Amino acid sequence: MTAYEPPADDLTPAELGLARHLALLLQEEPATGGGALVARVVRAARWQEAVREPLVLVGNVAGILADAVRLVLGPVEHPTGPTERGTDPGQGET
Amino acid sequence: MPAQSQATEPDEVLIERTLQGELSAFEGLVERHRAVVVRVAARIVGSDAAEDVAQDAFLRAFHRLPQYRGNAAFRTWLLQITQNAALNTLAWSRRRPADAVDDAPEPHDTDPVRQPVTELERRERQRRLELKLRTLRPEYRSLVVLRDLEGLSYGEIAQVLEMPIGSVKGRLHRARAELIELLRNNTYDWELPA
Repeated sequence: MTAYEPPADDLTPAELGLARHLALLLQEEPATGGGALVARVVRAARWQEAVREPLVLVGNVAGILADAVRLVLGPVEHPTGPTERGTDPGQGET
Repeated sequence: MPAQSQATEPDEVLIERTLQGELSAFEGLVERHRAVVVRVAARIVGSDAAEDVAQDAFLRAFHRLPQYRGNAAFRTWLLQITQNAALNTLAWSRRRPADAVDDAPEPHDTDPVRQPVTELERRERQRRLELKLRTLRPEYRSLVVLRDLEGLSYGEIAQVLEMPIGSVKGRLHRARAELIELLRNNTYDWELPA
């Protein structure tokens, strides 16, 4: 095993000590999933890819229907609130 | 295409083939990068959730592959997705190990032949350090993991975290200081000079 080399930064003595401690974590690699992870990812990618196009199609159709309904019903009029000057047109005037 | 020749093909070729609908090419990319993705995920969210985060990251990458422009290396782009997925998982679970857990000794095999004292001590330090690392705020944790454990350059980290290199350096300095402070406040003596 080669000696641990801390990152080539300008390290303070405490940071250098920390780097040596962190090297402990490098000695024990976490499990990396193995072939099972690869198989799971590929399986999920396959079915998600398969349903993606139909879902996009359904979304597009829903969008077209919503536009059509909006056209048939006409533009929706939003009730207007009080004006910035207040509800009473004469308010504040002398 | 046989897996052996796929293993030697550059990422760009595998990406291109994936975009043309060849799922086996994407499998090659997953196989090639799974170790670093799971490692980074494990060090940010812990080993229990690491595989789920890795799977999530690979699937996000798969769906966003058409948007990959090649400005950064594929590994850097993938690590950006991984760290975002890991941070989302953390935000979702709000898991922050308490200090009380840190100070509790881990049950271990006490057979002196199989577990020499030095080995036990090394493993205990490793475990405590891992817990302390996970106590760091997530954005600092990512920096320490990417720089001090994965050895990414400042430029790569800047791309992963989408921030200027100057910010990476400044935050990394603060992240290390915070971790040092956490270790100093621990009952275990980490012998960190002032």
